[in-house]
Amino acid sequence: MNYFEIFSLVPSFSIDLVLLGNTYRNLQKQYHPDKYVMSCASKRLVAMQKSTEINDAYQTLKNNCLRAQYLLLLSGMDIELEQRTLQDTDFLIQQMLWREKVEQFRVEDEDEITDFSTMIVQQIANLENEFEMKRQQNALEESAECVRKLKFMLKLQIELDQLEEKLFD
Amino acid sequence: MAYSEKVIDHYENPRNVGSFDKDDKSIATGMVGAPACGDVMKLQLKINKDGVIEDAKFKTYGCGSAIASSSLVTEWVKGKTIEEAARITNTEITAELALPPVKIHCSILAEDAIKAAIADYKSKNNT
Repeated sequence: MNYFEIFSLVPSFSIDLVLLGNTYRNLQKQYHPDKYVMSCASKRLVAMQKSTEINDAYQTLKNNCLRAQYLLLLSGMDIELEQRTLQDTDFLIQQMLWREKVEQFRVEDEDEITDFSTMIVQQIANLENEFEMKRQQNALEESAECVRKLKFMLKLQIELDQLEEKLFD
Repeated sequence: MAYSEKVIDHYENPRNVGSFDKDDKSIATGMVGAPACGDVMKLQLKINKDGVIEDAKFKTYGCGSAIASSSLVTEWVKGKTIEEAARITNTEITAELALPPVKIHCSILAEDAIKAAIADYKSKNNT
Protein backbone atom coordinates (compact mmCIF):
# COMPACT_ATOMS: atom_id res chain seq x y z
CA MET A 1 0.00 0.00 0.00
CA ASN A 2 1.52 3.36 -0.93
CA TYR A 3 1.06 6.51 1.15
CA PHE A 4 -1.79 7.81 -1.01
CA GLU A 5 -3.63 4.51 -0.80
CA ILE A 6 -3.43 4.58 3.00
CA PHE A 7 -5.56 7.73 2.85
CA SER A 8 -7.73 6.48 -0.05
CA LEU A 9 -6.34 9.26 -2.25
CA VAL A 10 -5.47 9.21 -5.94
CA PRO A 11 -1.73 9.95 -6.29
CA SER A 12 -1.58 13.60 -7.27
CA PHE A 13 0.16 16.78 -6.20
CA SER A 14 -3.12 18.56 -5.59
CA ILE A 15 -4.76 16.87 -2.65
CA ASP A 16 -7.35 18.04 -0.15
CA LEU A 17 -5.24 18.78 2.93
CA VAL A 18 -8.29 19.12 5.20
CA LEU A 19 -9.52 15.71 4.13
CA LEU A 20 -6.00 14.32 4.61
CA GLY A 21 -5.92 15.67 8.17
CA ASN A 22 -9.35 14.25 9.01
CA THR A 23 -8.58 10.81 7.60
CA TYR A 24 -5.27 10.85 9.47
CA ARG A 25 -6.94 11.47 12.81
CA ASN A 26 -9.54 8.77 12.16
CA LEU A 27 -6.89 6.23 11.19
CA GLN A 28 -4.74 7.09 14.19
CA LYS A 29 -7.72 6.53 16.47
CA GLN A 30 -8.37 3.18 14.80
CA TYR A 31 -4.82 1.94 15.33
CA HIS A 32 -4.06 3.71 18.60
CA PRO A 33 -1.95 1.50 20.92
CA ASP A 34 -4.46 2.03 23.75
CA LYS A 35 -7.03 0.03 21.80
CA TYR A 36 -4.71 -2.96 21.66
CA VAL A 37 -3.68 -3.16 25.32
CA MET A 38 -5.69 -6.35 25.79
CA SER A 39 -4.69 -7.89 22.46
CA CYS A 40 -2.00 -10.48 21.91
CA ALA A 41 1.57 -9.42 21.25
CA SER A 42 1.43 -10.01 17.52
CA LYS A 43 -1.73 -7.90 17.10
CA ARG A 44 -0.16 -5.16 19.20
CA LEU A 45 2.89 -5.23 16.98
CA VAL A 46 0.84 -5.03 13.79
CA ALA A 47 -1.14 -2.09 15.16
CA MET A 48 2.04 -0.31 16.17
CA GLN A 49 3.58 -0.80 12.74
CA LYS A 50 0.39 0.42 11.10
CA SER A 51 0.32 3.47 13.34
CA THR A 52 3.93 4.31 12.44
CA GLU A 53 3.21 3.87 8.76
CA ILE A 54 0.17 6.15 8.94
CA ASN A 55 2.27 8.75 10.67
CA ASP A 56 5.10 8.56 8.10
CA ALA A 57 2.56 8.77 5.29
CA TYR A 58 0.89 11.81 6.83
CA GLN A 59 4.15 13.68 7.42
CA THR A 60 5.15 13.03 3.79
CA LEU A 61 1.85 13.91 2.14
CA LYS A 62 1.02 17.04 4.09
CA ASN A 63 4.28 18.72 3.00
CA ASN A 64 4.26 19.98 -0.60
CA CYS A 65 7.93 19.33 -1.32
CA LEU A 66 7.95 15.89 0.32
CA ARG A 67 4.72 14.98 -1.47
CA ALA A 68 6.29 15.98 -4.81
CA GLN A 69 9.38 13.91 -3.99
CA TYR A 70 7.19 10.98 -3.06
CA LEU A 71 5.32 11.19 -6.35
CA LEU A 72 8.68 11.03 -8.13
CA LEU A 73 9.60 8.05 -6.00
CA LEU A 74 6.40 6.28 -7.05
CA SER A 75 7.49 6.85 -10.65
CA GLY A 76 10.80 5.22 -9.84
CA MET A 77 12.92 8.32 -9.27
CA ASP A 78 14.57 8.79 -5.88
CA ILE A 79 15.97 12.31 -5.74
CA GLU A 80 16.44 12.31 -1.96
CA LEU A 81 19.70 10.41 -2.10
CA GLU A 82 20.94 12.06 -5.26
CA GLN A 83 24.45 13.46 -5.02
CA ARG A 84 24.45 15.26 -8.35
CA THR A 85 24.74 19.02 -8.46
CA LEU A 86 22.50 21.46 -10.22
CA GLN A 87 24.28 23.46 -12.91
CA ASP A 88 21.59 25.72 -14.34
CA THR A 89 23.73 28.88 -14.31
CA ASP A 90 20.92 31.43 -14.73
CA PHE A 91 18.94 29.86 -11.92
CA LEU A 92 21.99 29.74 -9.64
CA ILE A 93 23.05 33.34 -10.36
CA GLN A 94 19.54 34.38 -9.38
CA GLN A 95 19.79 32.31 -6.19
CA MET A 96 23.13 33.95 -5.40
CA LEU A 97 21.69 37.45 -5.91
CA TRP A 98 18.69 36.69 -3.74
CA ARG A 99 20.89 35.35 -0.96
CA GLU A 100 23.09 38.43 -1.14
CA LYS A 101 19.95 40.50 -0.83
CA VAL A 102 18.82 38.60 2.27
CA GLU A 103 22.28 39.14 3.75
CA GLN A 104 21.99 42.89 3.25
CA PHE A 105 18.49 43.45 4.62
CA ARG A 106 18.32 45.75 7.64
CA VAL A 107 15.54 46.62 10.09
CA GLU A 108 14.52 49.66 8.01
CA ASP A 109 13.91 47.45 4.95
CA GLU A 110 10.76 45.96 6.45
CA ASP A 111 8.54 46.77 3.44
CA GLU A 112 11.07 45.38 1.00
CA ILE A 113 11.42 42.23 3.10
CA THR A 114 7.64 41.76 2.98
CA ASP A 115 7.67 42.09 -0.83
CA PHE A 116 10.61 39.72 -1.07
CA SER A 117 8.82 37.17 1.08
CA THR A 118 5.73 37.41 -1.18
CA MET A 119 7.95 36.93 -4.23
CA ILE A 120 9.41 33.73 -2.74
CA VAL A 121 5.93 32.35 -2.02
CA GLN A 122 4.98 33.09 -5.63
CA GLN A 123 8.13 31.45 -7.01
CA ILE A 124 7.46 28.37 -4.90
CA ALA A 125 3.86 28.20 -6.18
CA ASN A 126 5.11 28.52 -9.78
CA LEU A 127 7.58 25.67 -9.33
CA GLU A 128 4.90 23.50 -7.72
CA ASN A 129 2.51 24.16 -10.62
CA GLU A 130 5.21 23.46 -13.17
CA PHE A 131 6.10 20.25 -11.34
CA GLU A 132 2.53 18.96 -11.48
CA MET A 133 2.15 19.98 -15.13
CA LYS A 134 5.34 18.18 -16.18
CA ARG A 135 4.46 15.17 -14.07
CA GLN A 136 1.08 14.82 -15.71
CA GLN A 137 2.83 14.99 -19.09
CA ASN A 138 5.10 12.16 -17.90
CA ALA A 139 8.12 14.45 -18.28
CA LEU A 140 9.79 12.83 -15.28
CA GLU A 141 13.20 14.47 -15.48
CA GLU A 142 11.72 17.93 -16.02
CA SER A 143 9.37 17.49 -13.10
CA ALA A 144 12.28 16.34 -10.93
CA GLU A 145 14.20 19.47 -11.92
CA CYS A 146 11.31 21.56 -10.54
CA VAL A 147 11.58 19.77 -7.19
CA ARG A 148 15.35 20.30 -7.10
CA LYS A 149 14.81 24.03 -7.73
CA LEU A 150 12.03 24.05 -5.17
CA LYS A 151 14.55 22.94 -2.54
CA PHE A 152 16.68 26.03 -3.19
CA MET A 153 13.63 28.27 -2.87
CA LEU A 154 12.63 26.60 0.39
CA LYS A 155 16.16 27.11 1.71
CA LEU A 156 15.97 30.77 0.76
CA GLN A 157 12.63 31.01 2.54
CA ILE A 158 14.14 29.50 5.71
CA GLU A 159 17.00 32.00 5.53
CA LEU A 160 14.57 34.89 5.18
CA ASP A 161 12.48 33.60 8.09
CA GLN A 162 15.58 33.39 10.27
CA LEU A 163 16.58 36.91 9.30
CA GLU A 164 13.10 38.26 10.09
CA GLU A 165 13.25 36.59 13.48
CA LYS A 166 16.62 38.17 14.15
CA LEU A 167 15.57 41.62 13.00
CA PHE A 168 12.06 41.93 14.35
CA ASP A 169 11.68 39.68 17.39
CA MET B 1 27.18 16.69 14.37
CA ALA B 2 30.74 17.61 15.20
CA TYR B 3 32.79 19.44 12.62
CA SER B 4 36.45 18.54 12.23
CA GLU B 5 39.06 21.11 13.25
CA LYS B 6 39.94 21.75 9.62
CA VAL B 7 36.33 22.49 8.74
CA ILE B 8 36.06 24.88 11.65
CA ASP B 9 39.30 26.59 10.64
CA HIS B 10 38.11 27.16 7.06
CA TYR B 11 34.66 28.16 8.27
CA GLU B 12 35.98 30.72 10.74
CA ASN B 13 38.78 31.97 8.49
CA PRO B 14 37.63 31.30 4.95
CA ARG B 15 40.40 31.82 2.40
CA ASN B 16 39.88 33.75 -0.81
CA VAL B 17 36.32 34.91 -0.35
CA GLY B 18 35.19 37.30 -3.06
CA SER B 19 34.60 37.79 -6.74
CA PHE B 20 36.41 38.54 -9.99
CA ASP B 21 34.84 40.20 -13.03
CA LYS B 22 33.07 37.28 -14.69
CA ASP B 23 33.20 38.99 -18.11
CA ASP B 24 37.02 39.06 -18.08
CA LYS B 25 38.31 36.42 -20.52
CA SER B 26 40.96 35.19 -18.08
CA ILE B 27 38.32 34.52 -15.42
CA ALA B 28 36.60 31.14 -15.24
CA THR B 29 33.33 31.07 -13.31
CA GLY B 30 31.73 27.89 -12.00
CA MET B 31 28.26 28.05 -10.48
CA VAL B 32 26.84 24.94 -8.86
CA GLY B 33 24.14 24.09 -6.36
CA ALA B 34 23.32 21.11 -4.19
CA PRO B 35 19.58 20.37 -4.25
CA ALA B 36 19.93 18.12 -1.20
CA CYS B 37 20.49 21.15 1.02
CA GLY B 38 19.90 24.19 -1.21
CA ASP B 39 23.53 25.32 -0.97
CA VAL B 40 24.89 27.54 -3.73
CA MET B 41 28.58 27.87 -4.63
CA LYS B 42 30.42 30.20 -6.98
CA LEU B 43 34.05 29.44 -7.73
CA GLN B 44 36.16 31.75 -9.88
CA LEU B 45 39.62 31.03 -11.25
CA LYS B 46 42.05 33.53 -12.71
CA ILE B 47 43.91 31.68 -15.44
CA ASN B 48 47.02 32.95 -17.22
CA LYS B 49 47.87 32.36 -20.88
CA ASP B 50 49.87 29.24 -20.00
CA GLY B 51 46.75 27.66 -18.53
CA VAL B 52 47.97 28.05 -14.96
CA ILE B 53 45.56 29.12 -12.22
CA GLU B 54 47.07 32.25 -10.67
CA ASP B 55 44.31 33.07 -8.24
CA ALA B 56 40.96 31.79 -7.05
CA LYS B 57 37.98 33.23 -5.23
CA PHE B 58 34.73 31.80 -3.98
CA LYS B 59 31.39 32.74 -2.58
CA THR B 60 29.27 30.05 -0.96
CA TYR B 61 25.87 30.19 0.68
CA GLY B 62 25.65 27.01 2.65
CA CYS B 63 26.68 25.05 5.69
CA GLY B 64 30.12 24.95 7.30
CA SER B 65 31.18 21.94 5.24
CA ALA B 66 30.24 23.60 1.97
CA ILE B 67 32.14 26.76 2.91
CA ALA B 68 35.16 24.74 4.05
CA SER B 69 35.14 22.63 0.86
CA SER B 70 35.11 25.68 -1.38
CA SER B 71 37.68 27.53 0.72
CA LEU B 72 39.97 24.49 0.57
CA VAL B 73 39.79 24.12 -3.20
CA THR B 74 40.67 27.78 -3.74
CA GLU B 75 43.92 27.02 -1.91
CA TRP B 76 44.50 23.75 -3.75
CA VAL B 77 43.97 25.04 -7.29
CA LYS B 78 46.38 27.95 -7.06
CA GLY B 79 49.51 27.25 -9.09
CA LYS B 80 47.95 24.23 -10.79
CA THR B 81 47.28 23.98 -14.50
CA ILE B 82 43.63 23.62 -15.45
CA GLU B 83 44.28 19.97 -16.32
CA GLU B 84 45.71 19.33 -12.85
CA ALA B 85 42.87 21.20 -11.16
CA ALA B 86 40.31 19.16 -13.10
CA ARG B 87 41.70 16.03 -11.48
CA ILE B 88 40.86 17.12 -7.92
CA THR B 89 38.19 14.75 -6.64
CA ASN B 90 35.57 14.99 -3.96
CA THR B 91 37.22 12.02 -2.23
CA GLU B 92 40.38 14.06 -1.64
CA ILE B 93 38.33 16.97 -0.28
CA THR B 94 36.32 14.65 1.97
CA ALA B 95 39.51 13.07 3.31
CA GLU B 96 41.29 16.37 3.92
CA LEU B 97 38.34 17.86 5.82
CA ALA B 98 37.24 14.58 7.45
CA LEU B 99 33.68 15.14 6.26
CA PRO B 100 31.03 12.73 7.56
CA PRO B 101 28.97 10.76 4.98
CA VAL B 102 25.99 13.16 5.21
CA LYS B 103 28.26 16.00 4.09
CA ILE B 104 29.84 14.31 1.11
CA HIS B 105 27.59 16.30 -1.21
CA CYS B 106 29.49 19.43 -0.07
CA SER B 107 32.73 18.03 -1.43
CA ILE B 108 30.95 16.99 -4.65
CA LEU B 109 29.75 20.56 -4.93
CA ALA B 110 33.34 21.84 -4.73
CA GLU B 111 34.62 19.29 -7.25
CA ASP B 112 31.82 20.14 -9.68
CA ALA B 113 32.47 23.86 -9.18
CA ILE B 114 36.06 23.40 -10.45
CA LYS B 115 34.81 21.43 -13.44
CA ALA B 116 32.08 23.98 -14.18
CA ALA B 117 34.64 26.81 -13.99
CA ILE B 118 36.98 25.05 -16.40
CA ALA B 119 34.11 24.36 -18.80
CA ASP B 120 33.21 28.05 -18.64
CA TYR B 121 36.83 29.03 -19.37
CA LYS B 122 37.02 26.69 -22.34
CA SER B 123 33.75 27.89 -23.83
CA LYS B 124 34.86 31.51 -23.37
CA ASN B 125 38.22 30.94 -25.01
CA ASN B 126 37.17 28.34 -27.57
CA THR B 127 39.90 25.90 -26.62
